[in-house]
Amino acid sequence: MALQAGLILAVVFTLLLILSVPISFSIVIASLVTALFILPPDLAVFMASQTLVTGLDSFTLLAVPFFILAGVLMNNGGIAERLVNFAKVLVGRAPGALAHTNVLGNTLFGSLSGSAVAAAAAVGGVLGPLQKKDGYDPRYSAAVNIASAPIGLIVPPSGTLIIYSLVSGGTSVAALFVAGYLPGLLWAIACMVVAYTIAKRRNYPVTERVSLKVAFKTFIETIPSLMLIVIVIGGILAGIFTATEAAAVAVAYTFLLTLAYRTVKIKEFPKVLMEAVELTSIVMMLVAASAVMSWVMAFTGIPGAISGFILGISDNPIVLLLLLNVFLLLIGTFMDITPAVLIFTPIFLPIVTGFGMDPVHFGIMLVMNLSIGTITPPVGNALFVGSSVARLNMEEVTKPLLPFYAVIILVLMLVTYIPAISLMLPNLLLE
Amino acid sequence: AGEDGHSTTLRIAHSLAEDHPIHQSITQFADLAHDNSDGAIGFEVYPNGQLGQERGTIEMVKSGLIDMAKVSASGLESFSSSYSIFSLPYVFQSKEHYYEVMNNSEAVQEIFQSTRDDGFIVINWYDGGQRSIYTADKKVESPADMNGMKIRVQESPTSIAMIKAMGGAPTPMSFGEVYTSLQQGVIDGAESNETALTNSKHGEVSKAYTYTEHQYVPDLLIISTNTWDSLSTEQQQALKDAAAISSESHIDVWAEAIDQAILEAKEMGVAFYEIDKQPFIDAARPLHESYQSQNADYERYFKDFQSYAN
Amino acid sequence: MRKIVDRITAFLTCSLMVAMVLVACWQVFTRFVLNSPSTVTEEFLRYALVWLTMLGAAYTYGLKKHLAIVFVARKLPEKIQRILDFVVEAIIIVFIVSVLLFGGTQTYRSAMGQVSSALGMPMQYLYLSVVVAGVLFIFYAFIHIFETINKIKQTDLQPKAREQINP
Ligand code: NA
Ligand code: NA
Repeated sequence: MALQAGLILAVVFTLLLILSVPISFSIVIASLVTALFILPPDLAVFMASQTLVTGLDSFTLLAVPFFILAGVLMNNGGIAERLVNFAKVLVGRAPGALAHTNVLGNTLFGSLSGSAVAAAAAVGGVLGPLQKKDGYDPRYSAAVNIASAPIGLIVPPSGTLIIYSLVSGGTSVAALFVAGYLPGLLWAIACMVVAYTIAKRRNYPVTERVSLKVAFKTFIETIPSLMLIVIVIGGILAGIFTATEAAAVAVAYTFLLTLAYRTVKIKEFPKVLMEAVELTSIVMMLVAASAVMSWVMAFTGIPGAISGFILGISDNPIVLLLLLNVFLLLIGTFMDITPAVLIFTPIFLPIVTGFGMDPVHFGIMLVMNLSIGTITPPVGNALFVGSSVARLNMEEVTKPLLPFYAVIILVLMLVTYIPAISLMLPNLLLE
Repeated sequence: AGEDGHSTTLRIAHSLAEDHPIHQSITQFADLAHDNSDGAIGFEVYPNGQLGQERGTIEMVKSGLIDMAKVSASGLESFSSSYSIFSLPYVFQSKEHYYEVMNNSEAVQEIFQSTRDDGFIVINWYDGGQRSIYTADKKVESPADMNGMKIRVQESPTSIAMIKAMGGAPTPMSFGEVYTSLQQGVIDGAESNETALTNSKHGEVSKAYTYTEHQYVPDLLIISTNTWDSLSTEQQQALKDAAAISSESHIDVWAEAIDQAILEAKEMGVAFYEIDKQPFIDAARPLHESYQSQNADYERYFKDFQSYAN
Repeated sequence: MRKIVDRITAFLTCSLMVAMVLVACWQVFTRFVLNSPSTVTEEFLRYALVWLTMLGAAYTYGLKKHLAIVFVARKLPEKIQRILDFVVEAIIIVFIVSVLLFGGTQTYRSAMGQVSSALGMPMQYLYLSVVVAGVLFIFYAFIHIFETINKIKQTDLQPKAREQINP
């Protein structure tokens, strides 16, 4: 029964997606069709509507709308520019200085806004023109911007990790947050190494040395923005609030910050709020829809059948992890992160915990795989936005991106096979 | 006929892991009932909350989407307030009293049948042990000791009132956040049975477990009224017999699990404290009175429960 | 008509979002500062998220902003794309009528008598969100169908002009 059900589910779902039915509705309809083979129609629709609601009934999930709102406020709040100035002071003396500034800027801004697309647009948008003026090849600068845009998806706070925490059956959000730092840092360093090598060969300039006074002033100006990290992560570690509550505090803080910077007029707040409501509804509807799919899968025994199949290929953890990485990279190539996390966590997590992998470690590996998907063709939001702010076609940036893909995959392999990269910080800090 | 030759397959959902004693006992129930019905009734058990959390599965049983679910008596409170008697602090004075009531009381059977028209009845109870307070490192001997302590509670009016009466500051919080909150000091303590220390690893961050034994909340096996009525009298009897046997043998399974949990928790460095519970019992008395004053049935239930105390 | 519905939905969802931020901060405040944790905020927040999602999802559907995989559909000829628009809309209407309206009503009815554990709120109010969202969804579905019909009329009238705007 599980195999037939799985086949029906997969075929109907794929068909609806190709027809361009929105993903969340496709998930519910495909699940409903599958359920109809076992349940009478009235019970099937009851299940679907009830599970839509119970799938959202979770305190952990609340962090998602809050971090989305904080991110939207930040995108409108002139915070990207301040972070870019700060990054410039830090890495300005290296060849290809502006490229390194871009990587660092994406890491900082992406970490705060939690959005690869926002980072690519905001930071890349500021730095692209400056790099062109300094004689950088636009394809190079676009590639650097795109390659580093998704770093903020694993550097905390991260909405994706919160959703993972939920579907993985309550993996500690605090642990996941702290675990994301080192992998994110490695990703940034990898991008900077490639950017440095190319810049050195092409003699791209360094930026002007800034006086200590200017450096200090830039730093002071950035402190309020950087304080957000201190407040969110510090507040969690100090036991003032939970990860979910931290998200609400982040909104309140960002709101005050944008008021202080006067970058968003009071009149514009309804627009900002509406943007957050739209993003929230899109993501949360996906969460709700996926709960319906999980129910149908569990009811028909699909996850068990799939993991049985995978374990039939090999039971060697090293081989299995490699297979999972290949599969997840493929999935990430054409599927959005949130639905992919929601659909594949319940299937793969039992397999990896079966051979002793820590759920925190797997979460980081999973999200990193899918984050890479946002910058790979044929479908990748950050890739689209990164090329369009650089006024380039997707095809034009794909080739200069190749060396970056290579080092990012290398980092992914390190994260996959060395648990300490993910688990060292949580073990150290959460005591 | 179903694919395995059963005339009916009953689906049972619960939210605990497969290595939990309850899962074993439910599996035993399913096997026994299958045999008792001469193979006419098959069972499918869905553990790990695969089909949803407790509240959702109760709704599914009511609608007939699934046939049975294992739920905590406190989870049934929001469906019918008569179940709140099981969560009243110190309504059971000891383990022996608890067993006596659950096995023999007419009132218990009346409550179990009271939701028949709402779509489900209870066909079985399982020992869920006692619930006590545990904190980072502080033993609590009286309500004064608990003054200002933020204690995580399940989100139910009875539990909230209980912690208030016991002197603490009740803090409703989803279970998934409790470990980190204990670790980082967002809350000062929580309350549950000893397995929370090991299964949920709370013993890593809470080192003092005080036997306040404020509640004995049974786990209940509910069945959809529709499903129940669709069974023949013999089949109903088959289920009842299987339930009685699995309930009885669960007591030993559970006791063993608790002994094991205590052993493991001690290795984690948790200290267990026995105390004189009288100050807490006195503090809970107003809750007993306000429960009884709600209506005549509740007063009767309460008196019936107390008649089994020695 | 659409404007009024848009406005009301936007107002409700935005207010809910602001209220949620304030209530969550209040929850921290009562626990950390007042040392007397609020016992109702957590439940309020969870149920507010359900309402926000349901209403917001309908509104977002009105704007056609739900994520879809369009790179296959976009490659099709214009006329086939318009037919596809109808097909997609019809499939979504099946979802709306069966799950949101029919299923939602059933869920609403079955929650009768059940109260929430912290607020003591009838649980029907929670499931009502699905039915209300269903009504909003169906409203927007009809608007989408009218829009598609208009588009077809335009394409038939001036195929050349349209190609110039949208090569
Ligand atoms: Na982030
Ligand atoms: Na991609």
